[in-house]
Amino acid sequence: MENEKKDQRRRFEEIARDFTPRIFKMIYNMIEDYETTKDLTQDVFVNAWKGFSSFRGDASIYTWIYRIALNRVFQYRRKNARWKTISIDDIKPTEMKKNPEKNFFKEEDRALIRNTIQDLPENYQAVLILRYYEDNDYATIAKILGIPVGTVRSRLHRGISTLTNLIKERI
Amino acid sequence: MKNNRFDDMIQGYIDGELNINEEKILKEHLKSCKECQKKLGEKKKIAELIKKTKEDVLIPKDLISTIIKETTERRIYRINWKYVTLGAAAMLIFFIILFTYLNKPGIRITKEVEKPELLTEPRRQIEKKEPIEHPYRKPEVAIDKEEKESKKEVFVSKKPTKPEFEETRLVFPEDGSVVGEEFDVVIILEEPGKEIALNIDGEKKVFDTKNSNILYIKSDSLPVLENGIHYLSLLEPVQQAITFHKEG
Repeated sequence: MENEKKDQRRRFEEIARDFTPRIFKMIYNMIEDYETTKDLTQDVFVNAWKGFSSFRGDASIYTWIYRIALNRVFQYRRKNARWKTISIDDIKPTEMKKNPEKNFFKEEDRALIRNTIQDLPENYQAVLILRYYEDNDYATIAKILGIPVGTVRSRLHRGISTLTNLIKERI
Repeated sequence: MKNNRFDDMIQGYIDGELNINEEKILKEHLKSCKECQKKLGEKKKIAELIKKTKEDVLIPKDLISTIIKETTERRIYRINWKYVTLGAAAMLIFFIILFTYLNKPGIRITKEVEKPELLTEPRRQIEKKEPIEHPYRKPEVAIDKEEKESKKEVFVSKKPTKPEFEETRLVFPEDGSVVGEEFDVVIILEEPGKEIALNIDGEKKVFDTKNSNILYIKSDSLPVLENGIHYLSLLEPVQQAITFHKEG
């Protein structure tokens, strides 16, 4: 029993060493506040440790930790007024035609794109971050979010469209 | 709008997630659809841009060690709420039952109620008898109690299981003066015998008399020592009368 606990601690410490940098970076890219990112990363691992004894390994450690991390970030954003995201209903398709000739896909717009991603609805933000920041394939994203692979694809498509429209609006 | 079904496919294409069949269909369509060609170009570009907006950041030096301190090196006392809830429910039920009994005046949980078959005669017959003079008895209190009990204990067995014999009541005073005091109950039999069996408040108790006709029972060997009325009668040997005395 004591050995089992020791082994569990050792395994978890390994996981913490492996995943802390990745999780910290992902959360930072979603929150962009260093101190908050630190706290949230810590929370992620505290939560993971609490559930570690019941973690059966049906999911991989990777998808499990990422799911906990995304849940923690979105929970924080929902509580924090600063992170009031726009709802999908606010985005009007007619706005798309605004400034049609302007070439907005420039590197100078990097900050704008970044901020706009942070303002996206949770569902879209999650798939975009997991695909383009964390470089996951559809199957892994599907496992992390617990959705079908087809849904990942359509959310990515709609996420990019929404992002494009919002950027056009903000330029 | 007609090209909507290709939108998802374009997304899959730029992410390299289309199967051969889908890729063939999309490529065939792109040859003839300018709109989708434009969409593909635009999407590809923004996908590339999104990738570039990722910021690399140095992680705090002590973060991993802090995390380890807060997780594996920290004792977490987890409360199992299932057991807390069960415990609370059990306590609640216990108190409900307890108060239900306490709120019904006159009902005593006695051994007679639990084992009515051991009684030598029905309680109602006893009530009719004249109370036997006893130094401990306070008649007015005893009669009060008897009346109450005669009303409540109607379910006592009607058939006497043993022939009718003297049943003596030990009435302990209400003021509690007996509790904690030591005294003997002396039983004098008509004829000497090896042992006698007494019915004390519905419970059979056997005492060794050592071929004597006098038995001393210490108060602390009596099963009950509460204030109120207690009943003693002889179960064995049958056909013998006994007298009780108290010796303080």
